[in-house]
Amino acid sequence: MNRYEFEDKISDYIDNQLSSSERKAFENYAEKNREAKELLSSTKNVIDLIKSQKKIKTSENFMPNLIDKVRAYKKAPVQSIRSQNKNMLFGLSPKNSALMGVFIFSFVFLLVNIIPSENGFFQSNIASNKKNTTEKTLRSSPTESVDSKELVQADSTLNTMKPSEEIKLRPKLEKIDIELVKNKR
Amino acid sequence: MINQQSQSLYIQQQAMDKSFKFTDEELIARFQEGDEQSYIELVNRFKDRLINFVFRLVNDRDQAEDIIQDTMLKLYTHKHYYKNIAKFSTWIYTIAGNFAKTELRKKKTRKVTNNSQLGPEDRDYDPPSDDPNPQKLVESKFINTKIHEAIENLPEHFKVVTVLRDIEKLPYEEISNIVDVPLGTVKSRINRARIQLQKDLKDYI
Repeated sequence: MNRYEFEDKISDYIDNQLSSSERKAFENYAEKNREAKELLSSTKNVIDLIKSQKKIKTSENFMPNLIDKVRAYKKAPVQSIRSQNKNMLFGLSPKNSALMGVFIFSFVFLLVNIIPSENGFFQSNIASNKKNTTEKTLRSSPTESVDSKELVQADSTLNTMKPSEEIKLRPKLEKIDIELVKNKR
Repeated sequence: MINQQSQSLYIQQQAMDKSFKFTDEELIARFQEGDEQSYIELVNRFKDRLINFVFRLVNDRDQAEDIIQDTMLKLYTHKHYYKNIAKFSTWIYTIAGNFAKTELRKKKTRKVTNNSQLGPEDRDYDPPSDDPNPQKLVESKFINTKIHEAIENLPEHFKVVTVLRDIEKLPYEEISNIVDVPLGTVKSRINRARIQLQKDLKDYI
């Protein structure tokens, strides 16, 4: 055992938490080291002093005051909860509920108008309208092989492109549409 | 008539005697079922123990009493929050300790004058002594003040465990549950706090 181990075990020794072999080793070390022995004795004295401190007590008014508080609580616990909830909207303060509303609206707007989706459910309005037009045209004129090839190509581009690219391609698609209508006639 | 009155008094007395025989856990169970006499008994059992604990943390007797009032009111209003998986004393010490910590945090932010900056005559803690010898009385007061200062100067996490162990005399396991740290950490903190106290107080013992 060294000095650090000895210091670590002082409380366990005083509180009788050491095994018999550990206790023996601890006592042997204390016997051989004067400083360690003094530290042990001094710590024991401090603990005894702290333990012997006079206890304080609650004042005479403690119980009457507490009973008054309990009576006050009995009278108005529901009232106080109601008054707290009076200005709440869905459990949120007016400011927070307004912020939450703005956030939800923004989220839904972004979801519907900006984020593209492969199955078309959340697809942007512009993209889905254009796609519908090209599909209709393709179904109504199965014989125009050259133009329909171009159309299929444009359609596949439409499915994968971003909204910004779509705007660039819009004049080209319109031109194809016009040509297809002419051919049909 | 007199016979009936004395009989009812006897029954009341018996009921009082019984309540003293109940454990803390039995009393809280009875209180949860609506027996308010059990609440009074629990308050009487714990008010003085708790004020000794809280007073050493907040260092202000009036504030400590207010905290115990709040603790006891919470016991009344939140009685169903206690579940019989831990000792009642652990639960009530935890509530009081949390109130005391909140008060300490408020104190820090308010930067109220620290009691340690006041002279001994300003302190509201003056432990009474039964010793009639005036010189011994003065010595005892002086040592008590020094002990009080030394405990007060400990870091908060050392102070709590030391008070619970050496003043409240609670077992290590219960302290571990109250402060919600592992048993080994509690033992280590108590050991280090005691060595610190020994260093601070060795000149007075």
